[in-house]
Amino acid sequence: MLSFIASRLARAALTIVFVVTFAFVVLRLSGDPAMLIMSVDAPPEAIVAFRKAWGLDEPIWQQYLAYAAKALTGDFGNSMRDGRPAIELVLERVPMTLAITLPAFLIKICLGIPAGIFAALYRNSALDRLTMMVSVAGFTVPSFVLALVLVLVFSVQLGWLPSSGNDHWQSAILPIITLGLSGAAILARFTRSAMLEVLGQPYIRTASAKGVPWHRVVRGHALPNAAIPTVTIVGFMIGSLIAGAVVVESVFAWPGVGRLLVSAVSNRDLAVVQAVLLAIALSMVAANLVVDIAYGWLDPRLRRGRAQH
Amino acid sequence: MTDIATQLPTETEPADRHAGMKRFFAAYPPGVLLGLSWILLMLILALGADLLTPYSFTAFDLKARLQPPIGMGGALNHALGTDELGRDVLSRLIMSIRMSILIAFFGTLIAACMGTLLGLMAAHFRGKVEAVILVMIDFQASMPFMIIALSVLAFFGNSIVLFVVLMGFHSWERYARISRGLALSANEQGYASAVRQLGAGSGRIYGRHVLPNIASTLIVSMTLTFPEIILLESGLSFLGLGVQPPLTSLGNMVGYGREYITRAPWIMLAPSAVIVLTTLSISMLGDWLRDRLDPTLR
Amino acid sequence: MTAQDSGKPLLQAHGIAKHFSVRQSGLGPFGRKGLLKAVDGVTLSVMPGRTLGLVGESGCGKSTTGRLLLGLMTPSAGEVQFDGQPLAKAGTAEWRQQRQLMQMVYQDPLGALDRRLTVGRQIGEPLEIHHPGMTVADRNERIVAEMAAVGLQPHHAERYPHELSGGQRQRVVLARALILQPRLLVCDEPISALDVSIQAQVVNLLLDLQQDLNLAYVFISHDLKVVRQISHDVAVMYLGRIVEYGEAESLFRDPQHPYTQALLAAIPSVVRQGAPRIAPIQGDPPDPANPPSGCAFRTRCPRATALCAETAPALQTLPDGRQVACHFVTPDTASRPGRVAA
Repeated sequence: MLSFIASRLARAALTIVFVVTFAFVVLRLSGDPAMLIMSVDAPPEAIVAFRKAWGLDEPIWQQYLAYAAKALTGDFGNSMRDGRPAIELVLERVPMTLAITLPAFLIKICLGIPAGIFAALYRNSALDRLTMMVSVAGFTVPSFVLALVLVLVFSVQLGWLPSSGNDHWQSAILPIITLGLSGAAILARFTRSAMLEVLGQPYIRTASAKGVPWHRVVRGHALPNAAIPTVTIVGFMIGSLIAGAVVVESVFAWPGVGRLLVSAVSNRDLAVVQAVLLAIALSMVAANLVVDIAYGWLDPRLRRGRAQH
Repeated sequence: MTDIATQLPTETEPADRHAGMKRFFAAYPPGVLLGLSWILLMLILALGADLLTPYSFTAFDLKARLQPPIGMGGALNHALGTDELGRDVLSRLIMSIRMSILIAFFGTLIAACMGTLLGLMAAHFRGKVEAVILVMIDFQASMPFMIIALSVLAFFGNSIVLFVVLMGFHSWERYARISRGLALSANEQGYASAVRQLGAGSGRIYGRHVLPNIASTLIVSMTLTFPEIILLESGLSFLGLGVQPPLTSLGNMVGYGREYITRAPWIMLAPSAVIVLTTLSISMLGDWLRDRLDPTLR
Repeated sequence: MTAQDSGKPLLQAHGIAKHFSVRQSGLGPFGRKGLLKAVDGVTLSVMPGRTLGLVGESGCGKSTTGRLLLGLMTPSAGEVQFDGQPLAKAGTAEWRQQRQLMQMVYQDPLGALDRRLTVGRQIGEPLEIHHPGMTVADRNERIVAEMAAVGLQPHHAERYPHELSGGQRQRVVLARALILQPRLLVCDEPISALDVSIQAQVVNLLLDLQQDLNLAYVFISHDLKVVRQISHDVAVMYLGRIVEYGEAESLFRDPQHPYTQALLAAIPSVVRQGAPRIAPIQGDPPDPANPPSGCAFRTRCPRATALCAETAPALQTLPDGRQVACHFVTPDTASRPGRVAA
């Protein structure tokens, strides 16, 4: 088990290195940093001095190492907009994002998983059809369309809820519902197919043929086995707690990490973009790590099988 | 194509017309037929956009600003209403459909070609090449693509060519995984190793044997990628980071219409409906194709 | 059956070995690397027009040996010579040319055929590869002739592999292998996936083809009855090594190595009546990545002693030409016909 965790950690570290490298390569490919930051008509000696000051005259691998060392301490320089350290800007937005993504995550779990389980248990019933229809909609309706339809109904027509901003606690309701509904639909679809697959297995049929009461078969055999694939998608949802609300935050003008990223991208505020990129990569990698370990714990077979390659 | 036809059970002459109809609808469910018709309509609109638009999509009609569509009190001259500048929503919609479908088409094509090539390379060369490709697949799968796309747009700025290429990076790893897995099993004990053993070169092995055999699986995957790229493109365009004005795409229109959601909701509802119906149709078609061509996928 | 012994061997392998590096289980990517010796020093030869049977339990390396003999894999050590010339490196143009002379027949004919092409196209594919200038009419003529030679009807050419029976598919694979008129076929368990009633037909076809075309076979199988029927010589493999190698009829009549004896004891009809019973082999072969010290067979051998755990017995040649790798079988003890000295 220890070596299993060690190999997962190595992979997580590799992904982070990859993200930092990606940011560095893209940054360098996108143009001469001296030209980007200094104005076009700056005197040549000023540019040379700038290059020296920022280490741009050193070999590229040294620049890369220096960049990576700074990046891993979260130092991406200051935001071009308000001059504050980029990482500070990102960190202060994280709680705002979590304020809508965490409740939405609860909705996904509490709505999606039971709906999927019951749809599978009562296959082809009205409940199953409804779940399938809603989950297909969850896949094909983009979140900004869902958000705008909710705004149209609850803010414009009924006037019950504010359509944007964050001055009021009610402002959070529509973003949470938007995120929660589409996530729940995806989770329900996934849980249903995981459950159906488990229910078709011979050991389930054997157990019920032996006369074990159905509810005990479901609780004792079906649910634990269906949980294993479901954990993966839940893990991905945990990983996207920070990254998954980019569009929804923008629709509702909610001042979270996603909206920060969008405005940084349109302003080409590169320091902030890199800081957001690293923060999101860290959260995804951490979630993947937790899921992998949970997997190993849920399914000891995998612990060995996976560790082998 | 003839190979696929021979795989299907050969139909005998129907005893009577009723039974024939029944069998037809069992093979082609009404939902699939509707989806197919919708996709056909979209293709016709996309290909014939220049002939089918009643107005130029940038033409102002200042006398008819924010005119509602038919059914909400509008008139025939602007069937889907007009926007704030009096531009015809129907014309803009058709141009947007063309743009979105073109981007999704080329994006899917790039993703499929690049992913398949990388997957086949991994299976063919093994060793270090495979290791590098697997790390790239891992990286792509562990980051939400929207975030990667946003960062690239931040660094490079936006142009339509870059944007299309960027969409082509979406889900290439799916094709790489599939083609690598199928090519590996074909190489290990299957027909590909048999043909290699006959003395065939790589061109013949992959071109004549492996690709035709995995084509149906790849085509089914393309029906997954296509709607995903439409959603991604419209999401980015909605945020103002995708297709830039004066060009217009479906997401772009929704983003613009959002400003007028209280006074002129039709501006935003029309493209939204098109996005939903198109992704729905292609997904349904994909499910149906998967059941028919490749029941082993997922 | 010894008429062609005077000629030069068609295929010769000198001490060929194939080692794979594997990770020891349970240790993850940081685990120590192990060496799996799938084939470990095999020397054998095949005369033109003759059949060498290669037998052993699954996992003993007989399939890997077959692939090494055809040059489909590069050996870790040793050399394979075909017609006196070393095999070219796999994948090179020269190697591709050599394919015309040697071909493979597979256990699973459905897997070895492309299910999207008609069998006629596939039988003709070697001609497309090696004689691209040939006209379509000439090619079709050859295809029909080859199909007739393996007992297929001309109308089968338009069929797809899944539309044929298992025996017909194996005939298709044979026709494809034979259309370039090779001199050697390596048959890897060619009949074990077929129905018993079909097996005899395919074996008879192989025998007829050998007689007509002077083909040499390497026949890999775990079915000793069929191997006895078809082979001129037999090599018995255990954990990557040959433990007994000799003329087929005498080897089956009078097995010397305890492993061969145990294998034969598992088929009652092969053991002569009245001979003392030898217990059929028990248990599974050891993990090839972690073989026992000394003689690999000692963990299952009824006669194993301390000596067997210490040194691995070398392959020794007995007076009648038989080769055996066992401490208890030496040229002196084997002079007595019948059993190993007790």
